[in-house]
Amino acid sequence: MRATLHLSLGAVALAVLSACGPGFTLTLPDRFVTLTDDPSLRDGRYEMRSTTSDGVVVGVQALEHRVDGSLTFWSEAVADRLRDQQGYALLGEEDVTAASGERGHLLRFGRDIEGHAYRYTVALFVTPSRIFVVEAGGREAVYTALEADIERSIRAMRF
Amino acid sequence: MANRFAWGVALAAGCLAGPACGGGYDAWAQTREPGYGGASGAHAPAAVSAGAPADYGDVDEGRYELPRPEREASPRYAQAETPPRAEPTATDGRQGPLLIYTAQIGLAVHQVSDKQDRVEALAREAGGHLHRRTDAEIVIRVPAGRFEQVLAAILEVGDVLSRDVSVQDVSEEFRDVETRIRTLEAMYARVTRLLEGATNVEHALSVEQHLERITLELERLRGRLRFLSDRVAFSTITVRFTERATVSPPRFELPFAWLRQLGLPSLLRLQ
Repeated sequence: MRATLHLSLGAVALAVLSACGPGFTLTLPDRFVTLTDDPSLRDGRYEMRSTTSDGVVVGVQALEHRVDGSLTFWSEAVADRLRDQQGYALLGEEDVTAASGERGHLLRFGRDIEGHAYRYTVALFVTPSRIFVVEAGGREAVYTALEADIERSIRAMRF
Repeated sequence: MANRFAWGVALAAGCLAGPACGGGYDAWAQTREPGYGGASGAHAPAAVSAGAPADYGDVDEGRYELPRPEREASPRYAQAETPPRAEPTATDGRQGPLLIYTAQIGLAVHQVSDKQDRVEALAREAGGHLHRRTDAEIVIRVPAGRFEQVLAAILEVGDVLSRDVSVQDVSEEFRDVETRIRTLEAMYARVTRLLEGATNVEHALSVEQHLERITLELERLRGRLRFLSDRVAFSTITVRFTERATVSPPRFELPFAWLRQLGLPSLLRLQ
Protein backbone atom coordinates (compact mmCIF):
# COMPACT_ATOMS: atom_id res chain seq x y z
CA MET A 1 0.00 0.00 0.00
CA ARG A 2 1.29 3.25 -0.95
CA ALA A 3 0.39 6.64 0.36
CA THR A 4 1.64 9.87 -1.12
CA LEU A 5 1.68 13.01 1.02
CA HIS A 6 1.84 16.30 -0.85
CA LEU A 7 2.22 19.63 0.98
CA SER A 8 1.61 22.58 -1.36
CA LEU A 9 2.54 25.43 1.03
CA GLY A 10 5.73 25.85 2.99
CA ALA A 11 8.11 22.97 2.94
CA VAL A 12 7.54 20.27 0.39
CA ALA A 13 7.93 16.85 1.84
CA LEU A 14 7.53 13.56 0.16
CA ALA A 15 7.09 10.28 1.92
CA VAL A 16 6.57 7.22 -0.19
CA LEU A 17 5.81 4.33 2.08
CA SER A 18 5.41 0.83 0.97
CA ALA A 19 5.54 -2.45 2.70
CA CYS A 20 7.19 -4.14 -0.22
CA GLY A 21 8.31 -1.32 -2.57
CA PRO A 22 10.75 1.56 -2.36
CA GLY A 23 10.38 3.90 0.59
CA PHE A 24 12.01 7.18 1.45
CA THR A 25 11.31 10.62 2.82
CA LEU A 26 12.79 13.70 1.21
CA THR A 27 12.03 17.23 2.37
CA LEU A 28 13.01 19.95 -0.06
CA PRO A 29 13.05 23.75 0.29
CA ASP A 30 9.76 25.51 -0.34
CA ARG A 31 10.86 26.73 -3.74
CA PHE A 32 10.27 23.24 -5.10
CA VAL A 33 7.01 21.82 -6.40
CA THR A 34 6.50 18.10 -6.75
CA LEU A 35 5.55 16.56 -10.08
CA THR A 36 4.88 13.04 -8.85
CA ASP A 37 1.12 13.32 -8.68
CA ASP A 38 0.65 14.46 -12.25
CA PRO A 39 0.79 11.37 -14.48
CA SER A 40 1.69 13.46 -17.51
CA LEU A 41 4.79 14.70 -15.74
CA ARG A 42 5.93 11.41 -14.35
CA ASP A 43 8.88 9.64 -15.70
CA GLY A 44 8.75 5.89 -15.29
CA ARG A 45 12.22 5.82 -13.85
CA TYR A 46 11.67 8.34 -11.08
CA GLU A 47 9.73 7.71 -7.93
CA MET A 48 9.53 11.48 -7.58
CA ARG A 49 10.71 14.65 -9.19
CA SER A 50 10.49 18.18 -7.95
CA THR A 51 11.41 21.41 -9.67
CA THR A 52 11.79 25.09 -8.99
CA SER A 53 10.36 27.69 -11.31
CA ASP A 54 13.84 28.38 -12.74
CA GLY A 55 14.69 24.83 -13.61
CA VAL A 56 16.50 23.27 -10.64
CA VAL A 57 15.25 19.69 -10.56
CA VAL A 58 15.59 16.98 -7.93
CA GLY A 59 14.67 13.38 -8.69
CA VAL A 60 14.85 10.10 -6.81
CA GLN A 61 15.05 6.60 -8.26
CA ALA A 62 14.58 3.52 -6.15
CA LEU A 63 16.14 0.52 -7.88
CA GLU A 64 15.93 -3.06 -6.91
CA HIS A 65 19.26 -4.36 -5.77
CA ARG A 66 19.66 -7.16 -8.34
CA VAL A 67 23.39 -7.58 -7.89
CA ASP A 68 25.46 -7.45 -4.75
CA GLY A 69 27.13 -4.14 -5.46
CA SER A 70 28.59 -2.10 -2.63
CA LEU A 71 28.30 1.64 -2.19
CA THR A 72 31.89 1.93 -3.41
CA PHE A 73 31.11 -0.09 -6.54
CA TRP A 74 28.10 2.02 -7.50
CA SER A 75 29.86 5.29 -6.68
CA GLU A 76 32.76 4.39 -8.95
CA ALA A 77 30.38 3.20 -11.67
CA VAL A 78 28.49 6.50 -11.59
CA ALA A 79 31.66 8.59 -11.59
CA ASP A 80 33.24 6.60 -14.44
CA ARG A 81 30.08 6.76 -16.51
CA LEU A 82 29.58 10.48 -16.16
CA ARG A 83 33.23 11.53 -16.42
CA ASP A 84 34.70 9.17 -18.95
CA GLN A 85 31.67 8.62 -21.14
CA GLN A 86 29.82 11.90 -20.92
CA GLY A 87 32.51 14.48 -20.19
CA TYR A 88 31.20 15.61 -16.81
CA ALA A 89 33.72 17.31 -14.55
CA LEU A 90 33.92 15.73 -11.10
CA LEU A 91 34.08 18.74 -8.82
CA GLY A 92 34.02 16.93 -5.52
CA GLU A 93 32.68 13.98 -3.57
CA GLU A 94 32.12 12.97 0.00
CA ASP A 95 30.51 10.34 2.17
CA VAL A 96 27.14 11.24 3.60
CA THR A 97 24.85 9.66 6.17
CA ALA A 98 21.08 9.74 5.97
CA ALA A 99 19.02 10.76 8.98
CA SER A 100 17.91 7.15 9.30
CA GLY A 101 21.55 6.02 9.48
CA GLU A 102 22.15 4.62 5.98
CA ARG A 103 25.59 5.35 4.56
CA GLY A 104 25.69 7.14 1.24
CA HIS A 105 28.05 8.86 -1.16
CA LEU A 106 27.56 12.23 -2.82
CA LEU A 107 29.23 13.31 -6.06
CA ARG A 108 29.20 16.82 -7.47
CA PHE A 109 29.59 17.35 -11.20
CA GLY A 110 29.71 20.20 -13.65
CA ARG A 111 28.88 20.09 -17.35
CA ASP A 112 28.44 22.63 -20.09
CA ILE A 113 25.35 22.19 -22.24
CA GLU A 114 25.15 24.33 -25.35
CA GLY A 115 27.65 26.77 -23.93
CA HIS A 116 26.01 27.15 -20.52
CA ALA A 117 27.50 25.78 -17.32
CA TYR A 118 25.33 23.36 -15.35
CA ARG A 119 25.73 21.62 -12.04
CA TYR A 120 24.69 18.04 -11.37
CA THR A 121 24.75 16.19 -8.07
CA VAL A 122 24.24 12.48 -7.54
CA ALA A 123 23.80 10.92 -4.10
CA LEU A 124 23.72 7.15 -3.69
CA PHE A 125 22.33 5.16 -0.78
CA VAL A 126 22.57 1.39 -0.83
CA THR A 127 20.30 -0.68 1.37
CA PRO A 128 20.08 -4.48 1.42
CA SER A 129 17.18 -4.41 -1.06
CA ARG A 130 17.38 -1.08 -2.85
CA ILE A 131 19.74 1.41 -4.48
CA PHE A 132 18.44 4.95 -4.01
CA VAL A 133 19.76 7.38 -6.59
CA VAL A 134 19.12 11.04 -5.80
CA GLU A 135 19.84 13.45 -8.61
CA ALA A 136 19.81 17.24 -8.52
CA GLY A 137 20.72 19.61 -11.29
CA GLY A 138 20.22 22.90 -13.04
CA ARG A 139 21.95 25.93 -14.53
CA GLU A 140 24.98 26.71 -12.42
CA ALA A 141 23.96 30.26 -11.60
CA VAL A 142 20.66 29.18 -10.01
CA TYR A 143 21.77 25.79 -8.72
CA THR A 144 24.62 27.08 -6.58
CA ALA A 145 22.16 29.29 -4.69
CA LEU A 146 20.20 26.19 -3.67
CA GLU A 147 23.08 23.72 -3.43
CA ALA A 148 23.53 23.86 0.33
CA ASP A 149 19.79 23.45 0.94
CA ILE A 150 19.55 20.52 -1.47
CA GLU A 151 22.45 18.71 0.14
CA ARG A 152 20.99 19.37 3.56
CA SER A 153 17.74 17.78 2.36
CA ILE A 154 19.63 14.75 1.07
CA ARG A 155 21.33 14.24 4.42
CA ALA A 156 17.93 14.48 6.07
CA MET A 157 16.47 11.63 4.03
CA ARG A 158 14.94 8.66 5.73
CA PHE A 159 14.59 5.18 4.27
CA MET B 1 78.37 21.30 -77.18
CA ALA B 2 81.93 21.14 -75.82
CA ASN B 3 81.32 24.35 -73.89
CA ARG B 4 78.17 22.90 -72.33
CA PHE B 5 80.13 19.87 -71.33
CA ALA B 6 82.70 22.07 -69.72
CA TRP B 7 80.02 23.93 -67.80
CA GLY B 8 78.52 20.64 -66.64
CA VAL B 9 81.87 19.38 -65.43
CA ALA B 10 82.43 22.61 -63.57
CA LEU B 11 79.07 22.35 -61.87
CA ALA B 12 79.57 18.74 -60.93
CA ALA B 13 82.96 19.56 -59.54
CA GLY B 14 81.39 22.28 -57.50
CA CYS B 15 78.84 19.84 -56.08
CA LEU B 16 81.55 17.39 -55.06
CA ALA B 17 83.95 19.94 -53.69
CA GLY B 18 81.67 20.76 -50.81
CA PRO B 19 81.97 23.65 -48.42
CA ALA B 20 85.75 23.62 -48.42
CA CYS B 21 85.68 25.29 -51.82
CA GLY B 22 82.73 27.51 -51.01
CA GLY B 23 83.90 30.78 -49.59
CA GLY B 24 80.31 31.89 -49.90
CA TYR B 25 79.16 29.80 -46.89
CA ASP B 26 80.67 32.18 -44.38
CA ALA B 27 78.85 35.03 -46.05
CA TRP B 28 75.63 33.05 -45.89
CA ALA B 29 76.21 32.34 -42.23
CA GLN B 30 76.24 36.06 -41.61
CA THR B 31 72.72 36.34 -42.99
CA ARG B 32 71.19 33.91 -40.49
CA GLU B 33 68.47 35.53 -38.49
CA PRO B 34 68.32 35.05 -34.78
CA GLY B 35 66.72 31.79 -34.00
CA TYR B 36 67.60 30.31 -37.37
CA GLY B 37 69.43 27.49 -35.76
CA GLY B 38 66.53 26.55 -33.53
CA ALA B 39 66.84 25.74 -29.87
CA SER B 40 65.68 23.48 -27.18
CA GLY B 41 64.86 23.87 -23.56
CA ALA B 42 66.43 26.70 -21.67
CA HIS B 43 68.53 27.73 -24.62
CA ALA B 44 65.65 29.15 -26.59
CA PRO B 45 66.99 32.06 -28.63
CA ALA B 46 66.19 35.52 -27.35
CA ALA B 47 64.56 36.53 -30.62
CA VAL B 48 61.91 33.88 -30.19
CA SER B 49 60.07 35.85 -27.62
CA ALA B 50 56.62 36.42 -26.23
CA GLY B 51 54.12 37.92 -28.57
CA ALA B 52 56.14 37.02 -31.64
CA PRO B 53 54.26 34.26 -33.40
CA ALA B 54 56.57 32.34 -35.66
CA ASP B 55 55.86 31.61 -39.29
CA TYR B 56 54.83 27.98 -39.06
CA GLY B 57 56.44 26.30 -41.96
CA ASP B 58 55.75 28.88 -44.64
CA VAL B 59 58.73 30.22 -46.52
CA ASP B 60 58.99 33.86 -45.58
CA GLU B 61 60.21 35.55 -48.69
CA GLY B 62 61.08 38.78 -46.95
CA ARG B 63 63.35 37.25 -44.34
CA TYR B 64 65.60 35.27 -46.61
CA GLU B 65 66.56 37.37 -49.55
CA LEU B 66 69.15 35.60 -51.62
CA PRO B 67 71.85 37.82 -53.05
CA ARG B 68 71.40 38.40 -56.73
CA PRO B 69 74.11 37.53 -59.25
CA GLU B 70 75.16 41.15 -59.67
CA ARG B 71 75.89 41.40 -55.99
CA GLU B 72 77.58 38.07 -55.88
CA ALA B 73 79.74 39.09 -58.84
CA SER B 74 81.16 42.00 -56.94
CA PRO B 75 84.43 41.15 -55.20
CA ARG B 76 83.36 43.56 -52.53
CA TYR B 77 80.33 41.40 -51.59
CA ALA B 78 82.09 39.37 -48.97
CA GLN B 79 83.14 42.61 -47.30
CA ALA B 80 79.86 44.36 -47.95
CA GLU B 81 77.54 45.23 -45.15
CA THR B 82 76.33 42.06 -43.60
CA PRO B 83 73.78 41.65 -40.89
CA PRO B 84 75.25 41.06 -37.46
CA ARG B 85 75.84 37.45 -36.68
CA ALA B 86 72.80 35.70 -35.28
CA GLU B 87 72.57 35.28 -31.54
CA PRO B 88 74.23 32.03 -30.57
CA THR B 89 71.76 29.26 -29.95
CA ALA B 90 71.97 25.79 -28.56
CA THR B 91 72.10 24.42 -32.06
CA ASP B 92 75.15 26.36 -33.15
CA GLY B 93 77.60 24.23 -31.28
CA ARG B 94 74.92 21.69 -31.01
CA GLN B 95 75.01 19.42 -28.01
CA GLY B 96 72.25 17.01 -27.21
CA PRO B 97 69.13 16.13 -29.13
CA LEU B 98 66.66 18.54 -30.71
CA LEU B 99 63.28 17.59 -29.35
CA ILE B 100 59.74 18.57 -30.30
CA TYR B 101 57.32 18.34 -27.37
CA THR B 102 53.60 17.91 -28.01
CA ALA B 103 50.77 17.38 -25.54
CA GLN B 104 47.08 16.65 -25.95
CA ILE B 105 44.88 17.08 -22.91
CA GLY B 106 41.21 16.15 -22.60
CA LEU B 107 39.30 18.15 -20.00
CA ALA B 108 35.72 17.65 -18.88
CA VAL B 109 33.12 19.79 -20.58
CA HIS B 110 32.46 22.31 -17.86
CA GLN B 111 32.93 26.09 -17.88
CA VAL B 112 34.68 25.67 -21.19
CA SER B 113 34.99 29.32 -22.09
CA ASP B 114 36.46 30.28 -18.74
CA LYS B 115 38.92 27.42 -18.87
CA GLN B 116 39.98 28.31 -22.37
CA ASP B 117 40.62 31.87 -21.18
CA ARG B 118 42.76 30.45 -18.40
CA VAL B 119 44.75 28.24 -20.77
CA GLU B 120 45.36 31.17 -23.08
CA ALA B 121 46.51 33.29 -20.14
CA LEU B 122 48.90 30.52 -19.07
CA ALA B 123 50.40 30.54 -22.52
CA ARG B 124 50.95 34.30 -22.52
CA GLU B 125 52.38 34.29 -19.00
CA ALA B 126 54.92 31.73 -20.13
CA GLY B 127 55.97 33.77 -23.13
CA GLY B 128 53.90 31.80 -25.59
CA HIS B 129 50.80 32.52 -27.60
CA LEU B 130 47.45 31.27 -28.80
CA HIS B 131 47.58 29.22 -31.99
CA ARG B 132 43.94 28.24 -32.46
CA ARG B 133 40.72 28.34 -30.48
CA THR B 134 37.31 26.84 -31.21
CA ASP B 135 34.30 26.06 -29.07
CA ALA B 136 35.67 22.69 -28.07
CA GLU B 137 39.43 23.06 -28.43
CA ILE B 138 42.28 25.44 -27.77
CA VAL B 139 45.83 25.09 -29.07
CA ILE B 140 48.71 27.06 -27.57
CA ARG B 141 52.44 27.32 -28.30
CA VAL B 142 54.81 27.84 -25.40
CA PRO B 143 58.60 28.08 -25.17
CA ALA B 144 60.04 24.59 -24.89
CA GLY B 145 61.69 25.45 -21.60
CA ARG B 146 58.28 26.24 -20.08
CA PHE B 147 56.45 23.22 -21.49
CA GLU B 148 56.36 21.15 -18.34
CA GLN B 149 55.42 24.10 -16.17
CA VAL B 150 52.52 25.14 -18.41
CA LEU B 151 51.37 21.55 -18.79
CA ALA B 152 51.27 21.10 -15.01
CA ALA B 153 49.25 24.30 -14.67
CA ILE B 154 46.76 23.20 -17.33
CA LEU B 155 46.21 19.91 -15.49
CA GLU B 156 44.97 22.01 -12.57
CA VAL B 157 42.52 24.00 -14.67
CA GLY B 158 39.82 21.35 -14.82
CA ASP B 159 38.91 17.71 -14.48
CA VAL B 160 41.42 15.84 -16.67
CA LEU B 161 39.86 13.00 -18.64
CA SER B 162 42.86 12.16 -20.80
CA ARG B 163 46.44 13.18 -21.45
CA ASP B 164 48.96 12.31 -24.14
CA VAL B 165 52.49 13.70 -24.20
CA SER B 166 54.87 12.89 -27.03
CA VAL B 167 58.47 13.79 -27.79
CA GLN B 168 59.95 13.66 -31.29
CA ASP B 169 63.71 13.69 -31.82
CA VAL B 170 64.41 15.67 -34.99
CA SER B 171 68.16 16.01 -34.48
CA GLU B 172 69.09 13.81 -37.40
CA GLU B 173 66.69 15.51 -39.80
CA PHE B 174 67.78 18.95 -38.64
CA ARG B 175 71.47 18.25 -39.18
CA ASP B 176 70.78 16.62 -42.52
CA VAL B 177 68.86 19.66 -43.73
CA GLU B 178 71.57 21.98 -42.44
CA THR B 179 74.21 20.00 -44.30
CA ARG B 180 72.23 20.10 -47.50
CA ILE B 181 71.74 23.84 -47.13
CA ARG B 182 75.45 24.43 -46.65
CA THR B 183 76.19 22.34 -49.69
CA LEU B 184 73.71 24.22 -51.81
CA GLU B 185 74.89 27.58 -50.55
CA ALA B 186 78.42 26.74 -51.53
CA MET B 187 77.20 25.51 -54.87
CA TYR B 188 75.26 28.73 -55.38
CA ALA B 189 78.35 30.77 -54.74
CA ARG B 190 80.42 28.76 -57.17
CA VAL B 191 77.80 28.82 -59.87
CA THR B 192 77.40 32.55 -59.43
CA ARG B 193 81.13 33.00 -60.01
CA LEU B 194 80.74 30.88 -63.11
CA LEU B 195 78.08 33.31 -64.24
CA GLU B 196 80.60 36.09 -63.90
CA GLY B 197 82.79 34.31 -66.35
CA ALA B 198 80.05 33.58 -68.85
CA THR B 199 81.25 34.49 -72.29
CA ASN B 200 77.94 34.62 -74.08
CA VAL B 201 74.23 34.85 -73.49
CA GLU B 202 73.67 31.12 -73.98
CA HIS B 203 76.13 30.22 -71.23
CA ALA B 204 74.70 32.89 -68.95
CA LEU B 205 71.16 31.59 -69.44
CA SER B 206 72.26 28.04 -68.70
CA VAL B 207 73.90 29.10 -65.49
CA GLU B 208 70.88 31.20 -64.54
CA GLN B 209 68.69 28.11 -64.88
CA HIS B 210 70.98 26.18 -62.54
CA LEU B 211 70.91 29.06 -60.11
CA GLU B 212 67.13 29.09 -60.17
CA ARG B 213 66.93 25.39 -59.34
CA ILE B 214 69.41 25.81 -56.53
CA THR B 215 67.47 28.78 -55.21
CA LEU B 216 64.19 26.91 -55.15
CA GLU B 217 65.74 23.98 -53.34
CA LEU B 218 67.46 26.28 -50.86
CA GLU B 219 64.20 28.06 -50.10
CA ARG B 220 62.43 24.76 -49.56
CA LEU B 221 65.13 23.50 -47.23
CA ARG B 222 65.30 26.75 -45.32
CA GLY B 223 61.56 26.66 -44.88
CA ARG B 224 61.85 23.18 -43.47
CA LEU B 225 64.62 24.27 -41.15
CA ARG B 226 62.57 27.21 -39.93
CA PHE B 227 59.64 24.88 -39.31
CA LEU B 228 61.76 22.47 -37.29
CA SER B 229 63.41 25.30 -35.40
CA ASP B 230 60.05 26.74 -34.52
CA ARG B 231 58.69 23.39 -33.40
CA VAL B 232 61.76 22.78 -31.24
CA ALA B 233 61.70 26.27 -29.76
CA PHE B 234 57.95 26.32 -29.13
CA SER B 235 56.06 23.28 -27.85
CA THR B 236 52.42 22.65 -28.79
CA ILE B 237 49.70 21.92 -26.26
CA THR B 238 46.18 21.05 -27.39
CA VAL B 239 43.36 21.11 -24.85
CA ARG B 240 40.08 19.51 -25.92
CA PHE B 241 36.77 19.77 -24.11
CA THR B 242 34.80 16.77 -25.20
CA GLU B 243 33.30 13.52 -24.10
CA ARG B 244 35.89 10.81 -24.03
CA ALA B 245 33.70 8.57 -26.16
CA THR B 246 34.15 10.91 -29.08
CA VAL B 247 37.93 10.80 -28.74
CA SER B 248 38.55 7.11 -28.43
CA PRO B 249 36.57 3.89 -28.66
CA PRO B 250 34.01 3.54 -25.84
CA ARG B 251 35.25 1.84 -22.75
CA PHE B 252 33.71 -1.17 -21.13
CA GLU B 253 30.11 -0.45 -20.10
CA LEU B 254 28.30 -2.01 -17.18
CA PRO B 255 25.01 -3.73 -18.08
CA PHE B 256 22.77 -1.47 -16.01
CA ALA B 257 20.33 0.67 -17.93
CA TRP B 258 19.87 3.20 -15.15
CA LEU B 259 23.59 4.05 -15.31
CA ARG B 260 23.35 4.86 -19.00
CA GLN B 261 20.31 7.02 -18.37
CA LEU B 262 22.00 9.15 -15.73
CA GLY B 263 22.66 12.75 -16.60
CA LEU B 264 21.21 16.22 -16.86
CA PRO B 265 19.15 15.71 -20.05
CA SER B 266 17.07 12.95 -18.46
CA LEU B 267 16.69 14.75 -15.14
CA LEU B 268 15.77 18.11 -16.63
CA ARG B 269 13.43 16.82 -19.33
CA LEU B 270 10.08 17.40 -17.64
CA GLN B 271 7.89 17.29 -20.70
